[in-house]
Amino acid sequence: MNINKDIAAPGEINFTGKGGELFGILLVNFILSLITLGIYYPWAKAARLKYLYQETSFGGSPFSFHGTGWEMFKGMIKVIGVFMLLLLVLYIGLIFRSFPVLLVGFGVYFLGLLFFMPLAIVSSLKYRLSRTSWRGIHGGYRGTYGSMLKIYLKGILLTILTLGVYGFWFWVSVYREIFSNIRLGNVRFSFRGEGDEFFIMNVKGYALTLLTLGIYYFWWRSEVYNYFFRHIVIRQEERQARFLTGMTGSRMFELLVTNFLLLVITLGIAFPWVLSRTMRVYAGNLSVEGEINFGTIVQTEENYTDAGGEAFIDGLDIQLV
Amino acid sequence: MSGQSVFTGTYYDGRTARPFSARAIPAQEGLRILLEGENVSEIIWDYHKIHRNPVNNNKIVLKYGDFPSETLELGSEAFLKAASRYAPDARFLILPYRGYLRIGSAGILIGVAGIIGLLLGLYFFLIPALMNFAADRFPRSLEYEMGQSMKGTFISSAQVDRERTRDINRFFGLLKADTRYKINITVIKSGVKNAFALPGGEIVVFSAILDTMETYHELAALLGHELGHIEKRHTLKLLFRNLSTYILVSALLQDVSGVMAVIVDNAARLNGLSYNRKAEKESDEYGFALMQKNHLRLTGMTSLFEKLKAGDGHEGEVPEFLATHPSLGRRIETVNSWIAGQTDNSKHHPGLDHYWQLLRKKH
Repeated sequence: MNINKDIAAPGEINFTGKGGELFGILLVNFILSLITLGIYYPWAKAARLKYLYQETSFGGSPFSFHGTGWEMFKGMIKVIGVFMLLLLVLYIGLIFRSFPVLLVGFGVYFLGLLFFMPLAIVSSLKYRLSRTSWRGIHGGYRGTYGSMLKIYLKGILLTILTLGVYGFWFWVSVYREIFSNIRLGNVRFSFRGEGDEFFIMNVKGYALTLLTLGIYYFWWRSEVYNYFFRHIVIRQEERQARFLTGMTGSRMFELLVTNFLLLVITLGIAFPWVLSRTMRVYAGNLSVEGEINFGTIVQTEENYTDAGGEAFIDGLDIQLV
Repeated sequence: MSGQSVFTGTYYDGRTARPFSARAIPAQEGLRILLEGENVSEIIWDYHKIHRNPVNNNKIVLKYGDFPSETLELGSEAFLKAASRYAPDARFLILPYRGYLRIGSAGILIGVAGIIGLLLGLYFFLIPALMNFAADRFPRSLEYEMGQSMKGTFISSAQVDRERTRDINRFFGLLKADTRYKINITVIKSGVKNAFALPGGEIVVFSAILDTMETYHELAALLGHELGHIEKRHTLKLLFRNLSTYILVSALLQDVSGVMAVIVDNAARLNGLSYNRKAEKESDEYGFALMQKNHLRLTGMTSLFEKLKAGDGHEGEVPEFLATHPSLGRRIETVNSWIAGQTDNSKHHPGLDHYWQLLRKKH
């Protein structure tokens, strides 16, 4: 058997979705979610993710999302249970109207959230990556709750003590932890960004945005985009590859300003078109270059179908890619 | 084997990402997949175990078997037609989303109209009904606290007329009124002809409105009207409704809620206006009934309205931004039509008159 030669442009990342099709999916999602008072939400999310993943391709082959609404529904029920429990503690505090009880209520609530946030991220990544495949090879997340929790506790404590300054290093440490545990078959990832660079970039971005009355914002955003992707290292045994990014401030400017105008003029109805053009620009400015032959990836990861974390990150409104 | 169509594509075995050139041949016994190489090998897929990724613009992606599944990427839509000859009921041929993926511009227009219709329905019918339901069940103690904090914010920037506040509460105490609330009236020194009711039993009367009145019947009409707002929980309902707009918008639009909330908030005000006209009528009815019960001169109500209408543009009763001139004219007509059906059974009230004289002297 010989290897297929006609695979177009290896290393290219593309998004081929269309606003009109996405509109169809989101419209049905919207109506069914409304009619079912939100119960349809997990199925809606599955349909949306399937479309977004399957319209995204790398090296000419589309990604697949294997998650189902039912898996995510079961996850959602679990998470609603946890939230109800946490809220119950808070309400007991409010009902008793005594300061110590209220303090305990708040304490349990926020500590609960603090401890669940890393759990949510870890289990969501496990689910999301395991349910993603490319050429039949599944992704996976090998990180543990314990190591993410340590990073979180240290990060939040230091962020509070430094009045937010440590937040940049915290962000970088979370991404380091996440990427070092991502697998696609026997391909491994790592994030090589440094907090110092990220901090300076953001301070500079913030200051120049103020000085230029907001114009620099788009260049700042494109710097953050480039920073993020350029520091991801892809490894397969001894071979390495990296993302190349071609994002510029003017492209970001064009994208975000047009998105904003579209949304405002159509009162939000253009959202599917905005989403698909954002995906197109984000994916279109990315490619992978290096020594890795992606045809040699070997399946390594286990199946993981617990979608609890998926619902949790929704509940906490954390945005994962 | 004549009549069999052959489709070229790429096959992945699920163990590695290595692509194999493949020829797919739909046949009676199943989907035959020939893998190219020195020795051509053949796999047969059972049509009923094939899954298909719902959508992809460029490719048909078929999956076979449990985790980790085999994958076949094909480039031609004609494959589906050829396969349907052998297994028309196979799952991978029926796509749940197929129908509306290619809905076209007419479909989009209908969809947009549908969304707008649904949202309008939600906004004008379902939410008000839900909010009224919630407002009716809102605990009175909380309502009282809410009114107190609103009053606190307002009073801190205003000057209270203590004597008139004392007398107006005594005046009110002499009126027979059915109310579940403990009513507390405050008179504020102000040149604006205004009065309003807060949730939980607070009424605020501006001194200028007292100064324009000529009889205690008019004052009773005003207080009766404000009491109507409190009894019917109008302010609470208005608050609930504006709040629900925010919740609805942020729930539906997620990321874009910032922009949308601003737009919808303005819409909420316009809508709040019509809501308030209905509320005004309810309160007028309540005030009218109170005047009948207390044997007051019913024309006190219309003469109060006339004075407000002739006033300097500030209308009273409701916060200024909600008040409109045409509604006062219409309200006078409505009250007149109520009066027309009644015989005058008014009596003189020495007690009310006493406090009224004290109230009107003070300026």
